[in-house]
Amino acid sequence: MTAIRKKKHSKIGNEPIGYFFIAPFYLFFFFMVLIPIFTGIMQSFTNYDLYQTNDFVGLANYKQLLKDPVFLQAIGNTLFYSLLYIVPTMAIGLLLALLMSKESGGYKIFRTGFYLPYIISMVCASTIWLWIFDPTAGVLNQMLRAVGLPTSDWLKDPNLAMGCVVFVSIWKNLGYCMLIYLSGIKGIPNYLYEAAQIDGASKVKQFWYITVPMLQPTTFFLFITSCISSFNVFEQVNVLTNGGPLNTTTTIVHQIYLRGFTQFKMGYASAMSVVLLIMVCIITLINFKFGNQGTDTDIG
Amino acid sequence: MRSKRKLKNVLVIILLTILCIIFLIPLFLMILTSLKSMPEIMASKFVLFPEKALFSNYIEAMQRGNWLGYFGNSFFVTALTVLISLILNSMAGYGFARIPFRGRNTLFFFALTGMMVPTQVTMIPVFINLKSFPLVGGNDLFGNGGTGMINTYAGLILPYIAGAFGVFLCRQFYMNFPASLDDAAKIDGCSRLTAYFRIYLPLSKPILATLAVLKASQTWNDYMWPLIMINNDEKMTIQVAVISKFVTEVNTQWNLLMAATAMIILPLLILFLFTQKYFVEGIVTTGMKG
Amino acid sequence: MKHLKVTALLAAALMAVGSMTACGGVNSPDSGSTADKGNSSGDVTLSFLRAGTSEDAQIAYQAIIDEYTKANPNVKIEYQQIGFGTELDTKLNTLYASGAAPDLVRGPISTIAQRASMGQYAALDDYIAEWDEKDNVIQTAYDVANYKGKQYGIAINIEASMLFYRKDYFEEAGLDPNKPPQTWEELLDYAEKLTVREGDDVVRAGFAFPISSNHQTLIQFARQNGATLVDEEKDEATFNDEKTIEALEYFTQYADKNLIIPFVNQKDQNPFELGNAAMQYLTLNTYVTIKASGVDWADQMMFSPGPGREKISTFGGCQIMFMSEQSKNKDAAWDFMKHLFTDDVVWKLVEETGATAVKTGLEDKFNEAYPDIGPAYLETLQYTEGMPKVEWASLFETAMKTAFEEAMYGKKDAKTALDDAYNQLNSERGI
Repeated sequence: MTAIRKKKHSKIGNEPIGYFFIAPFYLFFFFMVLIPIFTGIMQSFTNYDLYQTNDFVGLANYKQLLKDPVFLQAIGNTLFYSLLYIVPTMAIGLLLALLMSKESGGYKIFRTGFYLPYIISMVCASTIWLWIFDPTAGVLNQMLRAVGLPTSDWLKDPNLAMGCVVFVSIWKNLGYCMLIYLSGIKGIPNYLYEAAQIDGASKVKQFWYITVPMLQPTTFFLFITSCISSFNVFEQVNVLTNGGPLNTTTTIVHQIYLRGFTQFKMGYASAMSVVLLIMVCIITLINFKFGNQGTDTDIG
Repeated sequence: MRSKRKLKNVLVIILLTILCIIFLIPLFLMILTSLKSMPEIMASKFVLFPEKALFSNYIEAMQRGNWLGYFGNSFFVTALTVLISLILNSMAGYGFARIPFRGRNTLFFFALTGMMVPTQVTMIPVFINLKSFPLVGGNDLFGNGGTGMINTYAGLILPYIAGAFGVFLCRQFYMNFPASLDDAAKIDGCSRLTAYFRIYLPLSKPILATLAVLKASQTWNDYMWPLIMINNDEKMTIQVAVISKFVTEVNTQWNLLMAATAMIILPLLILFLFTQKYFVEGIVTTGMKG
Repeated sequence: MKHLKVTALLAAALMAVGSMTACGGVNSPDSGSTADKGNSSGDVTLSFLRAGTSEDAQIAYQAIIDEYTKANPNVKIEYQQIGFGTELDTKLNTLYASGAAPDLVRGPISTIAQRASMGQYAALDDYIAEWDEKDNVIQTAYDVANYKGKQYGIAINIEASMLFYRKDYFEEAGLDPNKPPQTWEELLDYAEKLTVREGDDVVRAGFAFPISSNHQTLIQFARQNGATLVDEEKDEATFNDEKTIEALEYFTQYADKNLIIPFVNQKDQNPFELGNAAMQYLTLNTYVTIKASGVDWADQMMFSPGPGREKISTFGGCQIMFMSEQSKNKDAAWDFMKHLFTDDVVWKLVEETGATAVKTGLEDKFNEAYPDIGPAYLETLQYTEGMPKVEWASLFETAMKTAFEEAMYGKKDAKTALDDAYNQLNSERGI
């Protein structure tokens, strides 16, 4: 952080008009997001029960967290989920975006097709997938049976359940990833490619030396938002498996929900969310440091 | 050479078609289910196609409750959210990306942090804030006495437009622009304001279209927040309506549920098709010279 | 620029003060002073939140409310309903935390211990003592809503689970449908005879029960075996005893003998409804659903309170009418609650929503209206027990689910599974 800041300041000056541009947004953000987060952090040092009890308990919640096997398992599950989810989604998303960036009409249909799952609500999408995964009447097992392959009890098998949750998430969010990459690709000036073509650079070279570097801000954006969404995964889990079987799919936010809203340990749940917050902050900071995204791309 | 490329194109298209069909199986299932009768769905043997397509399910679904009202509410909330977000987010994104000012990175880092906290944690503080908002909904200057923004559209919309997602998106987009653009603007004597409105905004169509589509889907599909914020049928939004009308403690009417869901997707689909043309509009075609 | 900053700060300060005082208002009991002034003009607005989203119930309750407000023009009732589980928890938590609690809540029994001991639900003893109808309500309706000696509500619906079984499947397997299983051994024996397989896959279960996300089966059978599971007086769990272990071991036999058709509570269509089970514990609601769905085997259903060992016991979900301690109009709220428990209204709910006839005077009427399921249902009601009423009920529920699941998947033997769940529960309670 500080390194970037220093570089900025030494290069360019301070223009207060910047505050004017961010002020309208920041006003809402301050009241609706920052203050509630601050409240949440304060709550993590209390035994708040969502009603009358709200006493300071020091670090008791954090000490308890370290001894909570289910929470530790939830952290593991969340990281595992993130790993399985982020890389394929971004890779396939980029690939699709490259294919879809062509302007002919046929590709528009594909573009819409891949984007469609994203606009269905998660509640409804999960319901449909529950049918597909159903062990007896489900489409998946019926198809497997038809071609003579072994069937599984997808969402109730401890070895498969997490894979299914990840698959549904990828299915749901691939369109989003594709869309962001698409708008990123469209932001790359065409003359760069024209110039490269004149220089005789191959398509592969163009991809590695123009597309990839030019998409860096987009990739950074997608990586951060994918981290956030996979660290915060809740709805899929809640609807598809409810954390089971044997806690193999419970995630941090699922635990936060269970502790805070069904067991009334909001103080404890807040401590979990502080842990989550620290985790994502670390990832973001690492990205800021190594992502080299703070500089303006100058081409000319 | 040429025929080889053509062959490659055909292969790509075939591959995409197969992928796309697999991708859309769940949606086909949704449509097929929406046309079945309940006994057909409940039957122990699963059948893919309904014996007789019951389009009447769609009419029946829309007669459960005041769907014109639910659509109206959701439309109003979504449209307002998207409109305000586009303005606030592109301004803030531009500010963060192009204008140097003291504390910029810190402020931006805070904005990023704000995206990371799960709503389950901030939901209750936000709700309390909105309930005790001064001078609204019967509240006095100190936020006591009334219900504040509970059960109002404002209470629904405020947390939506406070999300930092769009700011982040716009910032990353504006960071792609060449620094020479700012220099040129400076030489021409443009202030930051004029530069934003005259140069950057007109070039922002792809990103604004993207943001509009994403923000609209999020708002339109949100379930939990309207569920706790809205208390009566008059202000109910579609996602809450679709669950509360067709999923009950006794049973779930899958056919009507799926019919309603299909109807709910339509406006978002239309929005996407409409904004598609802006995605293909690259920077060059909007008249920027290198 | 400065100016903007100052305004922002000012607004922030104002808001902070606002939220702080509002929070204070939640906690102090005399925060209703402003509303009392409103009362003097005679107009009262009550809010009524019902857990559950069925349209039948909505129509029925709305009609009851309309009728009531017509007779009492100074009262306005805002009715809303919300789905069970995530939805209900979230909504109630936000409303109570922000001081906007509904005056009346019709919620499940699982909410009582926590919310009563936190002070969210009001004790109704004084009101009930002066109620002339108090002796005409069935005892179970009081029992399930009693917590630590105080009456926090009255059950308006008791979803007693009873053994549903299929006459045609019984006959097909050479069993006498008029002799449902009375003992655990018979239940297992019948289940074996009634199970239909294709290869190794069970396509029709003899006796179906969920193996995932299921706490009811173990609770019910452990109680049948004489286990108490939870000592409510001492506020401690006791399910690591021999009797509970025996009950769990009994169920692992179903897995060993390959008699299970997998499904998850609340998630899947249950096998009995799909015609894929010969016996299953279900509630009156399912009966209504099956009848309404028009399947051709609806008249093949038969009913019994199920087997017993030391005693017969069945699990019952209970819907209870509660009043909020935060309510500023308790008298008016009680008056409407009394109206809900008049014979006419209770019967309207029975007829239109499949609710329990919780008034003693309605039993004959009930048997007449439902000749097939009525007698068995009323008998079952006597054996019905709900969730233990302890503050850590949700932890207990998780413990039961985990132990059952682990044993059924063969991951641990019954004793280890229960011991582990027991230790986990105690460590989470900080014992």
